[in-house]
Amino acid sequence: MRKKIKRILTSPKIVVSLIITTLAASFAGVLIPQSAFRSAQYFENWKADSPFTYALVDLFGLNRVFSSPLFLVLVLLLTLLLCYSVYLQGSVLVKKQKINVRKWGRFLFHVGLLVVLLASMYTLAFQKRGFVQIIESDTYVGDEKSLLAKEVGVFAKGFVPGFRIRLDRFEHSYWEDGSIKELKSLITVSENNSDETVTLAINKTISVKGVKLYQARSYGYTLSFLFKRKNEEKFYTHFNIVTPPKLEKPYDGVSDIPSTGYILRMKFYPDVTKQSFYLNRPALRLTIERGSETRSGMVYPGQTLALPQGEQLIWTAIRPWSGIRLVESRGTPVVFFGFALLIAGLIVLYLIPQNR
Amino acid sequence: MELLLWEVTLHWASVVLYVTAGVIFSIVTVFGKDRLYLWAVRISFAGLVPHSAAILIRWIASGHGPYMLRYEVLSSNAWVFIVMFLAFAAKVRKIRFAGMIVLPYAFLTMTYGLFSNPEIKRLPPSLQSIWLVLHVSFYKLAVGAILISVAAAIFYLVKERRGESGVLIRLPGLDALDHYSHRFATFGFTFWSIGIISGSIWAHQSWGRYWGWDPIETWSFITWLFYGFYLHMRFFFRWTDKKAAWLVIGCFLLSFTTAFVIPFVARSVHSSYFT
Repeated sequence: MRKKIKRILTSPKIVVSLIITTLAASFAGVLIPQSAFRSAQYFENWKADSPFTYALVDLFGLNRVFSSPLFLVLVLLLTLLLCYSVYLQGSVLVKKQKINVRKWGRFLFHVGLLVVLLASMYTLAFQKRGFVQIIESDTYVGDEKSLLAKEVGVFAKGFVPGFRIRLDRFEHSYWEDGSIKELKSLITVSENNSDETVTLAINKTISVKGVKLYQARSYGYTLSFLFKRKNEEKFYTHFNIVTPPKLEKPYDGVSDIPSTGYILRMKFYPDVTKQSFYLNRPALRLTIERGSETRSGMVYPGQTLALPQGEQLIWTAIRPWSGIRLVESRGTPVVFFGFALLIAGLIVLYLIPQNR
Repeated sequence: MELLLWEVTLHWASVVLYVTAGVIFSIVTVFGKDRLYLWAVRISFAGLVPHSAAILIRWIASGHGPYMLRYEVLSSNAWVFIVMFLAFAAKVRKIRFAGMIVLPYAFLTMTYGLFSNPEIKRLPPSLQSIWLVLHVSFYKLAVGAILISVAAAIFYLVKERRGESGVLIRLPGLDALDHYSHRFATFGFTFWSIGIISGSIWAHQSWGRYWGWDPIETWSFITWLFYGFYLHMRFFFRWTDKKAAWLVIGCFLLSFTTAFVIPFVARSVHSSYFT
């Protein structure tokens, strides 16, 4: 039995078959639409148009190849084979008196690949990611429920960063063609009664308690309103509008005023006199709907709107907001170590001239 | 504006010189006019002068290296391919036959780029990183190496089919062609791996994720796996004949698809550099 397993693990045909299977799976991942890159509506349409094909694709996980159990099994088999191959190559190298540079290169490359695979699986299982939108001068309190989006590995127990982030200032600048030049968030991170003010920018991250903070590409303006009922009861509501990718496109937003039944459709202009991303003379084209009743018009900061049922909506403030990504991925440095071994192996194997 | 006009003129001047050099390389290989070989090399070098100047002018005007849009990308690719070929041909004279494929490939892609949108696109903040330079440079080197490799593979297949007849007698022997094809494919594999890895580190620095199965990432991984398949077939099953040559052609087609076709057809975070 042991001999049989050994024969299987060292069989070149098995190695090559696994490479071909991984190739086939990867081809499926690029040729068949994947759920990670398409909307749910796309798959609903597909299901309606050709139910049999969709059922088949869904059954084998071909619409989510890289997160399917079959792909995981494939990666595990590759890892197993690599483990044994590395063990065999290592034992040959230890026994040999004479140094064979090429064999060392091959060994280093395979060890690197093995480290990358193992560390990636660990990272995937234990990673924690979150995304928050922080309004200028507001604070994210470091809890889980304030995260707007969250993604945790199978073995990770929730994501509670445990430190506070206050957005002191958000800066955005543009090239002459209107594309983004730089995004910068000046934040104050508070933990254990100590505050530290730092600048976060794209490609400029900071690390706090093992959590890396990234400047996200989504940002915009928060429009704050005061809603007054007829009985003088009032509350504030805020809408975060995302900055469009191009200057020519408007800042669009649709939202409801909580527990009122009103729907707001907004087109926000930071500067009503010209196309601009910067606040100068802000204005809002607002359409308010409730049932069949609709009202629309141009609104300016501080202005009060009378709503159909006698309520009032006052536009009280505009502040920038910044998207910040929080990532805890402890396996990543090991993945990078694996990369280093892999490259070292390739250089030794293929780039260093050797006597033939 | 006047500066950019100069840049376009210099680009076209280099195309003319590369076409001339390509023709001479073909004459050297087909008719065995060895005395013309030095002229082919000299004219290629002469083409590099206005080409380098054009790239430099654009670099200064745009404030970044040649990474954005087809115009810059294809021009810098051609530059890397020609420099790589000339460097290797200077060291290993026997691979000069590859000039017959490398030069035309370089000037054709470059010309295609010259007919595309020449506007200057500014670098988005995520692309302002040293990792971008490494990522892009190593991919260019990888494609350059695989281009020389595929040239050897094509000549291997032709010679294997037609034998030592006519002009083919002037090419290196089958074993030598297979050796060069394999050697340059291993360079390509190494550079492609470094390209993937530097991109991965850059993605981690920029987005907090070192791998995201983005379509171009996945295609790049497929190319890498195919290289791996080729190398394993050689190592385990001693595929050193025309089967190996066909696999090298497969590697080239996949790398070409990854770098120059997928950015047009797939929605990807990588598409902005090329479209």
